[in-house]
Amino acid sequence: MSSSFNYDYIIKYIIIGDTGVGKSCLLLQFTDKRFQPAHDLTIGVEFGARFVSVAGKQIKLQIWDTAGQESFRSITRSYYRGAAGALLVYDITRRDTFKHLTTWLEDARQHANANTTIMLIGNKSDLESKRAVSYEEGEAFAKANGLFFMETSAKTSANVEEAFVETATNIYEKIQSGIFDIHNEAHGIKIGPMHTGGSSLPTGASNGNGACCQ
Amino acid sequence: MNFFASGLNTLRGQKGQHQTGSETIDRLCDRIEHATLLEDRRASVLTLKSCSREHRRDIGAKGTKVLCKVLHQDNADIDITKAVLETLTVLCQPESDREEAQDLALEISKAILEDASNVAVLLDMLEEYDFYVRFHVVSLLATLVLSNTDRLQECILTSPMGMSRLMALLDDRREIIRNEGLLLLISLTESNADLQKIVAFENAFERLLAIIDEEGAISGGIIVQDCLQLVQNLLRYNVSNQNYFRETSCIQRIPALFNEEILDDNGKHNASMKDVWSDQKGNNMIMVLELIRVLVVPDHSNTTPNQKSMYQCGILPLLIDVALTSNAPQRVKASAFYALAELIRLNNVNQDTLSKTVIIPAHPPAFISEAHNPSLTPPSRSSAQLSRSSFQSGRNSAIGGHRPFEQRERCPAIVEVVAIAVGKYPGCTYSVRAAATCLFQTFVLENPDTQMVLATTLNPPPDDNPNTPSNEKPQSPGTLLLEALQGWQEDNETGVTDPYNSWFATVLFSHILQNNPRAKSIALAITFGDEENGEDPVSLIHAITAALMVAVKGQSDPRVALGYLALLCVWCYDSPKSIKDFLSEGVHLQFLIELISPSSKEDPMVQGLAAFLLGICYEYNWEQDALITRATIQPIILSRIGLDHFAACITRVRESKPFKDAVPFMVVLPSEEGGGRLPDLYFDYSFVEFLKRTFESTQKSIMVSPNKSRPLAGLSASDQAETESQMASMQAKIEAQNSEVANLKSGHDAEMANLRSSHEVEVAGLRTRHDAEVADLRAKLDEAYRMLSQQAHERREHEAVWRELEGLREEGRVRQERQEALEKEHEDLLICLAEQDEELSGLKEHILALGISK
Ligand SMILES: Nc1nc2c(ncn2[C@@H]2O[C@H](COP(=O)(O)OP(=O)(O)OP(=O)(O)O)[C@@H](O)[C@H]2O)c(=O)[nH]1
Ligand SMILES: [Mg+2]
Repeated sequence: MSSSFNYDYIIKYIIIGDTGVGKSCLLLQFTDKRFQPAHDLTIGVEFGARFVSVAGKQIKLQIWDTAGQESFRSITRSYYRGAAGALLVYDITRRDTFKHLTTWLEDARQHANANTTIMLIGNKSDLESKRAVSYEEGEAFAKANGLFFMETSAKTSANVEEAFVETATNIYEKIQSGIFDIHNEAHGIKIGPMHTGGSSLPTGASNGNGACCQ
Repeated sequence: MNFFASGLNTLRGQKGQHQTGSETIDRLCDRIEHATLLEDRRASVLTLKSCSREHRRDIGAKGTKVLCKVLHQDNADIDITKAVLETLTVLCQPESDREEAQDLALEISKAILEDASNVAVLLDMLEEYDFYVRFHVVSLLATLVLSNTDRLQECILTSPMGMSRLMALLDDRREIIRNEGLLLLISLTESNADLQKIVAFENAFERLLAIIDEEGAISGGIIVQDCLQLVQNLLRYNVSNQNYFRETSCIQRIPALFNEEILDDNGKHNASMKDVWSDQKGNNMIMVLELIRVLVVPDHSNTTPNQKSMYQCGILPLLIDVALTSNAPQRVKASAFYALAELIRLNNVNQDTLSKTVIIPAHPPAFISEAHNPSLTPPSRSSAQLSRSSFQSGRNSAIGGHRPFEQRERCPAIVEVVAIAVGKYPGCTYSVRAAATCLFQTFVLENPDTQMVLATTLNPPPDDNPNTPSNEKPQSPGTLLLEALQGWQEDNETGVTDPYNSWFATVLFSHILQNNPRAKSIALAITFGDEENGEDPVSLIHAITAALMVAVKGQSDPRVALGYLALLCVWCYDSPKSIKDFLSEGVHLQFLIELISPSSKEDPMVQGLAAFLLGICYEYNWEQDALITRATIQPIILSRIGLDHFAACITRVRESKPFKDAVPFMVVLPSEEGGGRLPDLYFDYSFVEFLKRTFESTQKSIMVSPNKSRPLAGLSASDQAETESQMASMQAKIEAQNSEVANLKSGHDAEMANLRSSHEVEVAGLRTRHDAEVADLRAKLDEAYRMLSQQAHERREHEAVWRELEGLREEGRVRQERQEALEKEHEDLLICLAEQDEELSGLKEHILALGISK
């Protein structure tokens, strides 16, 4: 709680992909370090948050976990544009979830910010015996579409941390190289009061009461 | 152009000739749809607009679709767009309150919303900077949201950029647009969780809090109120948004909302502005307080972490300030009490903080009336005539002689809460008192230690050192309660009796005693009357019953009796000792019976509670040496009152409107008071719950034979205490028997000396007597053992039940250990007895031998 104000950047993520691929589980594993065996169908959108450290900078990730169900698609589209990072998830044991990636990607390309970093995730890597999509196929799809790629397991937590951090690293690099207009909050990034880069956002600077509230 | 001019003239000139008007509208619509020139289309729209008020129905029927089409096609032209927007807005706003007009407007807005792309195009238009376009789009959307909220929400959700365009309205520097946009967002987010989340995602909290800051926090204008309203909408019952609010450190920004610009109209720094409460400032403050409440609603998954965050950033003292030390208007204070109540509910740290807080109260000290002076008449034991001073005589009056409007002494915050709740300050509204009562309730809720501490304050605090220049006598929550418990009589002199003078005190007192055997024992020990002055001490429970009897006999407002009865029910429930004390005055039972009897004309709710109380007095009447036993009460209920009538009494109270209307956090609406009106508070909600939970078993227990020994199946604390005390008395019995044996033995020794010089016959007689005595002793011991083993058997059964009840497992274990220890002790005693027995027969042989040898 006390460190809530001590961040260099806030970055917004969304998690998208078919229903049941493990989006909510990935988020839960990342924020709470636990696994939820039952499928709690996400209704609309849920929020989660966690700090990560990238290149010595404190970055607060605000993560919106969206519903994979078709009926919520129109709602989740409202979240694309404001996100700096997107985790596009499929289930390596269900081929159809891999096939639907094209649709998801079209959606993202249409509604998301052009600079949004997209990480393709093949989840449930612990279920090797039931695998229906090979690592190479996933990797090839990512390469063809200019995405990052990783296989994860929300159950064993393999690569979960890495997936979120890797995405943050890439976004941080984009910030450093000036690709992101960090002064436009609509792009899913906000500079924190700790940031020493000089120009801070008016809201952060005006009250300056960040540190006293801890 | 001529055509249009004439068309217009036709419409205007021949009003009432609908045929012509209708035809013209047909042609106008046709032109709008098909004219190739933009000018022609524009002119037709303008004409249509100019007559839209007079021909709503026709234009609505024929023109709605056409006008919407223009929005799609011609939105590059600002003039035509503006005209269309205005026309549609007029059509969608009902002309009057008449149903027809409402239906027409609804129909037209339905037609517009039918095609979601119409909404999409409107939202796209918000990209346009032109003031009028933006303004009219917002007006139209605001009109549509009123007539058809759900459908508009749906349409907006299908437009991926829609919400962020609406949110951009908040950044518009033109205030009208920003404010209208705010109102639109408020209506849109009232009920739709998806929209609430999207709005939050668009940084709503940041943006709104920034606007509030800019506008001067609570001292700002209505815009602050609107912003706070929107923040509240986004958070109410929305777990995800509450997480977001907390994770983005927005709770830490709440204290800043209490800040005010203390600048006066001339821009001068003026600290006294803090004490000036305009209506708007009051509204803003209430919104802040409501916002806090939304974050800590009972039984919500986010409440505990939010309570913690609020504690950490110091919101608790701010609330205490508003509620107790500020001069805020009463409606604001009431709000602050409720917010505090929920902030400390089931949270030990926060409860503790409140209990440690000391404040300088804002209220002027209560004015002293003559009626408050303690009477010198000693209270008589005939309780019906017990004078009102019986609560105080022989002890220090809790009311000191202080002058009004002087700086108040510091006192514990909770004392002031009680003072307000029980009505010590004549100016306090019922709504504030109800709110303070709720705070008191959550202060003691599931907090037995606090209940105990409060119970001990029933004994008055010592007077201050006479040398300290204090104007106020020290007070405690307990003394305030005792004083108020008889308060309903006080205004008799003025001819006004306010039943709430005692009612609130009974509620508070019930909360101190509820489910707390120790607090009940403390209260039982309270007596009035100075024995040194020759007064007969009267116990508190009798004094309360006396007040109840006076209230009923004096035909006071039923609330008075209901308050006392509810208190007695809570007090006696599961408390044999309290029942014994309560019934030790025979007239009390008589009084209850009269109240309930079928011929009684008493208020049905009062009868119901009297029946409930009588039932409790039967169900838990387990004290051994009680004056009135179960055997006395059962036939009275079964034959004199009748079980059916008894049950009907309780049913009637359960089905009464005030009983059903009770809500968890009692409220008194401003409309419910004032002008001498009394609010509709008859029952405290926790009492309602208590009765609902227990009346069935109480009712059933009447059928259980009075001789049946106390069932041990109960799992309550007092049941366990009861078992323990039975074990203890068993042990005492064994000890007594043990010492009896010892006595016998020593008696024996003495007699032996005599025996030496006695006759053989006497020795033989002695022996028979001894044998009989020993046998008797054996039998007693056997009986004791049988009881013990039966008890052990019962205990084992109960343990099986207890094991199922997780929460009580630990208690069961402790109890078992204790019992085993007792059994062990008992076994030891038996061995000891056997040894003594042996010794005894040895002695007898010895005596015999002596006799023989003689
Ligand atoms: N074995 C295994 N099971 C997983 C893994 N991740 C998720 N699951 C299971 O997959 C099911 C669905 O997981 P969720 O996270 O609820 O799915 P979702 O993507 O959020 O689904 P929607 O909310 O409907 O969009 C659950 O039963 C999880 O226990 C994983 O890495 N390994
Ligand atoms: Mg999910």
